[in-house]
Formats: sequence, structure tokens, C-alpha cells
Amino acid sequence: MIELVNNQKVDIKKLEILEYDELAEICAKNKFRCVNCAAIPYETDEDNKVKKIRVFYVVSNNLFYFLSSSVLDLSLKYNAISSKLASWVNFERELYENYNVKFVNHPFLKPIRFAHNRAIDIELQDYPFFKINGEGIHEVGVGPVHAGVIEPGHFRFMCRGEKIDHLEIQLGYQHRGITELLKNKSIWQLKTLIESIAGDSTVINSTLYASSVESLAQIRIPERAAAIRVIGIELERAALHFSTLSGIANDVAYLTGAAFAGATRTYVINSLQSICGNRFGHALIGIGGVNFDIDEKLRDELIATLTMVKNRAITLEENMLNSPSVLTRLENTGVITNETARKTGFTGVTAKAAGLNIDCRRLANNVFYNKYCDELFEHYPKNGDVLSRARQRFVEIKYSLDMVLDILKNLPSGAIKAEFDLSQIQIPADTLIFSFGEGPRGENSHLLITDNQGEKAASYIPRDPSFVNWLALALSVRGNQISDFPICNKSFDLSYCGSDL
Amino acid sequence: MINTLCNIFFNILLMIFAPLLMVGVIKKVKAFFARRKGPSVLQVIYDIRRLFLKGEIISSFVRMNYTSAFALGSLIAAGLFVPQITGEAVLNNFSMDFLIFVYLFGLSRFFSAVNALQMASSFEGMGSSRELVFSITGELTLMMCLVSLAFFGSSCDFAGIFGAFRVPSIDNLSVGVLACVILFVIMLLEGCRVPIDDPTTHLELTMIHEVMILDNSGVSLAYFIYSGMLKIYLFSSIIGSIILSEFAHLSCFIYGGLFLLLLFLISVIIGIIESVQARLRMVHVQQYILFAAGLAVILLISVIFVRI
Repeated sequence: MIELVNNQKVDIKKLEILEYDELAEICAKNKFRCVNCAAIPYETDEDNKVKKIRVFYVVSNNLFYFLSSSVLDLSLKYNAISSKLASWVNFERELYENYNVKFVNHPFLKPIRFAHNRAIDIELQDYPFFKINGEGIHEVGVGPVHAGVIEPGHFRFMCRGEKIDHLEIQLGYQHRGITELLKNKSIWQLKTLIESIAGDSTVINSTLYASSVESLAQIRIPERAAAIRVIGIELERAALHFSTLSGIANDVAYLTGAAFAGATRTYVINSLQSICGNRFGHALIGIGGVNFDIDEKLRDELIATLTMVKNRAITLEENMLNSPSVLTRLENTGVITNETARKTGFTGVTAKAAGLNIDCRRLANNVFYNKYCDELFEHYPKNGDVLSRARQRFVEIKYSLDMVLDILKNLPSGAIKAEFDLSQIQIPADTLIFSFGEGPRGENSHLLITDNQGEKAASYIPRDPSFVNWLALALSVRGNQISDFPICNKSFDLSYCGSDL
Repeated sequence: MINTLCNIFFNILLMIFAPLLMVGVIKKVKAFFARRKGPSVLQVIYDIRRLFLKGEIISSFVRMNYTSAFALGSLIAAGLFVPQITGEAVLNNFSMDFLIFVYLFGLSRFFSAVNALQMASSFEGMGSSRELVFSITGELTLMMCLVSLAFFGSSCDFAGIFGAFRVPSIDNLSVGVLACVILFVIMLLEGCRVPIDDPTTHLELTMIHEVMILDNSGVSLAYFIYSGMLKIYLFSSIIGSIILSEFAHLSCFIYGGLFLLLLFLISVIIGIIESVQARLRMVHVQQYILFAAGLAVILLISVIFVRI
């Protein structure tokens, strides 16, 4: 098991192979949560059928990242790590679905996204939902088609009267096979696909992709480009938080708050548009830097707009979080305790509102973030309820806008794109590269493994924080009123397509 | 004879159009608070017209397809007993008409609950259970309020009840204000407005009344939407009759104008409440209605003291 820093290259031939039980023991002892895992074929038989897979795991204790690998024989049975560590549940489900790895003692061994090339033999209509029987228990199924304009996903509640006993979330309706599409293409050509993983995390995903490739090709990006990337990521974060706050206000029927937050979000995404021509930051990031510069005139405009946006955020917080009728809906609704968040490895707003000080911006090894990371965690009552999450979003909005304004005021001069000659660059073969960053929803990470020729990806796994955090929603609603579910859901505001890939 | 015909004509005309326009005004006020332009006040009328022109999809579980019509019909029948723009009801001087009014409301609720239950969906079951649980206290409160007013007016019909408020006095004022507040709360409950229910966010898990009509479409949906609006109008008419009874001796044009103004004001107040206040948590709705029930008890006790 070796320690990893952001954008570090690792030669997978030199990486030691652990037994799965050994890995389980180390992880259980150190309480490592799984961050990302990718599998490549290790041994095939004469019909080109995979017999063994090599799996790479990036694990973390929230301070450092570690890499390890193991070889899984598809004909053998393995004792699941998730029997000890809840944060591994979805990662082992994914291995089970994609390769039919036979786990025993897994608490929740079900298909996760019904990929078309799944290795297991189960159909969507046979999904094994958890059932409760008893007096007064009834089952409520919502979705995949919802009454609002949201993405598809199926929620199955087991209720006792109006109280939720259990919620099971079954996703996969947005599965587009992104990980398969990313394979076996030149790694220079993946930008468009990466940008379409999740519409509201475009900048963070394309930044992680670009920095992976830059690290492989040994390109150093200019300081001005790094600054504009941070501006893009932080604007994207502020925009998502505003849209979530608008959604929370809308769900409790607090009309003025919803309208105000929605209008403010438009200023933020329009700022992003004035930089790169797209409100969601498509095409902003390019390999070697950024594609669009911020000139003097635009800079002054952005500073004026974002200062106004920050004042609006403060006004909104004062009004919304001091309104008794809103507070009574938000307080003590959908609680995620500190212990739950720690055990299940949640990241992002969910974890921060539960009092965990996890923020990848601290660990990302970025000059701009290093400058600000001391004041990242603000103190307020962190109960892990909807109110804490709403408050955390306000904190992050202000923090992001402050950071953007400061960077804009001291924008480094120079080029926005590094000069490089494509014909001179040799991409190393059989190399793993791991890059991560704090996206709008939490820890985004990309795990790229080049094939034995270089140039192409043998496996490219982009991981959205929603993949892990969906469980938070299921756990938070237990014991709550079923009528409070929409507001719990909105307070997490997780991505369906980011998790379904 | 002409008087009677005019009375019937104007009351029925208002009963058809005023509910739609009131909701249109509520929407306009909400749009104003959200700094939006908002749909035209007439948009509600267009929506209802569109639903009437549409076809209908009927669940295969449905055995009684007439429930929506009966739900609306009971409400219209209830409306015939309520004094409206002319200061007189269509069916005037009808003894014990306030009892008929309350129980025709109950009948309408029964039919909408039956309509929801026969769809055989777990949502609708949840919705009807919510609606009926909340209306237990709601109906009791309404009954207590109207009985107190009947006792106060020493009369068993609406005309007599409102007639008692004709002379301004401190007794009349306090009883009138208390009754108006109670009726307003019950109106928000029956009409499914914020803070009890939210007609605009369509989240099937939080809705009360709206969830009961999830599987209705076309004409029957139009009936249900229209009944929701009609409830608001009928309660507003009762509130209006209490407030305006002092002006009953004025010419019918002035009275009618004041009545319309009052309907407009009530819509604006509902719009403002919906804009500045969030919805109640479902477990708190019962407490909110109990607040009205408590006021009704106070009203009853004070009326007993005044009259004995």
C-alpha cells in the first residue's frame, strides 16, 4: 500500500499485489474508506474470457490517500470488506455487477446500475427490494418518472403510517456506459465525454481530466490558467449551492426565497458564460491550461457582479434562516450523525454539515487552495440536519465567492495555455494516475490507467461523490415523516447521472 | 319576481367565475412577490377550459366514475345556501341551512376520498387518510363556529345569523372578528392553501388534497380543481357577509361592489401569506387547526356569556 498525492503517476507493474483478505484487514484496522476503484483484466482464457481481474483501490483516512491493488479470481469466493466497512458497499456492488465477483457476507449485494454489459444474470423487474411485513406497514414506490423536472430514479419506501422505516434507492436509469466509452480511445480525445458526465459538475470533471493528462504528459500549466480553473470550479460550486437552496425554499413553499435564490444563481452561471461562452463551463478547460482568458474589462465586470451576488447571498441567509416557518421545517429533519458520516465515508456538504472536516481542497496540492484552506471550516451548530446542510451551503457560497474575488483582484499575468508539441510527447504505458478535487457535491476523483501501449486508457473511472452519498439520503429519512422526504432529498441534491455514469 | 330572478342570476354567475378569478389574483400576487410577471388573471379560466376539452384516462379499478361530479355537485348545492353578492342566498330563508352547508361540504369530501381510494394507489390512500384526519378537527371547528354564530344571532339560518351583525356594537365586533379568523383558517385548510398544503409544488409525497387527484385527468380533474377554488369562494362569501352585513341596507350596487372588493382583498391576503410563509410540517398541521378550534371554543363561551 503506497501513499498517493494528487496527480501522482504510479507504475502498476511495480505495485505490489495484496490478498483481498489482507487488504480487508488493513482497511478495517485503519478504518479506510474507499475513494475510487478500477478493475482491468489480469488473466484471460483462450476464448478471451476474463478469468482474473486486477483491481486498484484508492483508499483514504481523510488526511492521506493510499493506493493498493489485488487480483480477484472470478471463480473464487471472497469475504466482502463491506461486512466490516460500510463505505465499501457500493464499490463491491459495482465489482459484483461488472465482473460477477463472488462476495460472501456482503450486506447488500444487489446490482447497482443495470449496465448493459453486466456480468450477472438479473433483470430490472427482478430487483430484490428489501421488504418489511407487519401490521400497518405499507409500501410506497416513487419514480423513476417524477412529478417534477428531475432526473429519473426509483425510491421504495417501507412506511408505518406516515413514518418511514426504510428507504431503498434504486438507480441506473441514467446509465450511458461512460466508463466503457472512455476506454480504448486516445486519452487526448476524451474531453467532450468527460464534460458530459454530469452537467452541473462540468468544470471540476474536465479539470481533473486535464490535470491527469498533463501529469502523464509532463506539461506544466501557467499560473494564470491555474487561477482561471479555480475561478471556474468555485463559480460552479456557488451556482449549484444557489440552485439547491432555491430547491429547498421551493419544497417548503417559501416562495420569495426560492425566487431570490434562483435569480441569484443566474448571475453566477451568467458570469461563467461571460468567461467561456457556456453557462455550465463547457470548453473552459483545455489540456495545458484554459481556453479562455479574462481581460481587464471582463475582470471588472466579474468583480462587480460577484460582489453583488455575495451581498445577495448574505441577504438570503439572513431572511431564510431566520424565518420561523422555514426553520421549523429544516430543523432536526433528515439527520446524518457524525458517526454515520464517518462510518459510511460520506464527503462534501453531507459530511461537513455532520461536523467532519473533510475537504479535498485542503489536500489537493493547489497553490490557490493552500492559501485559503486554513479558514475553510466555519463554526456553527453542525447537527447534520437539513438546516446544517443549508447553512453549510451558505458558508461555501461565501467562501467560494471570496476566493474568486480575491483571485480576480490579484490575477497572475502570463499565458493561459502551456506550449507543447504533441509529437514529442510520450505517454507512459501501464501507468496509473489518480487525481481528485472538491467538486460542488464533495470529493470528485478520476482514476486513469493507461494500457500497455500508452496513448489509450485501459480503464478510466470518474467517480462522483453522489455514488457514495446516495446512501446518506436513505439513512437520513429513517424515522422521518414521509412528507419530509422531498426536502431531505433536496438538501443533499445528489447527481443521478454522476452516479449512474 | 324580477328581484328573485336577478338574485339567482347574479349569485350563480359569481359562483361560476369568482372562484377562478380569485385564484388568478392569488397567483398574480405571488408572482409579484417573486418579482415575476406571472400568468394573466384569466389563465385559470383557460386552464379549466382546456381540461374540459380534454379526454380522460380512467383507472381500470374505478367502479364509480361519477364521484368527481358528485363532489363538485355537493359543493354547488352547499353554495346555494350561502348569501353572496346580493346579500341573499339563492335558497333564502331556509331553516337550519348552515347545518346543510357543513354536511354538504362533508359529502363532497366523502366523494373525493372515495374517488381517491378507488384508484387503488398507495399515494391516494395516503392522501385521503391525511385529508380526512385533518378535516375531523376542521369540521368540528367549523360546526362550533357556526353554532356559536347561530346562538349569537338567535337564528337558525344564514340570513338571521348575518342579520345579527347589522348593528355595530362592541359585542358584534369581537364576535365577528373571532368568527372571521376561524373561518379564514378553515378556508386555508379546505382550499388547500399554504401553510397547510401547497398547490404549486407537485411533490406527491407531501401533498394532501392534490395527491387525491393524481390519477384524475380531463373533465374529472377540472371538477376537482374547480371544487378547490369554489371552497375558497364560499368561505370568503361567509366572511364577506359577516363583515358587510352593516351595509346590507345600502343599494344593491354598492353592496355588490363592496362584496367584490372584499373577495379581491381576501385573495390578496391569501397571496401574501403564501408568499412570505413556508408550509407547515405535516405533523404541525393538526396543531394549526387546533388553534382555530381553540378560538372556536372561546367564541362559543363568549357568545354564551353575551347572550345569557
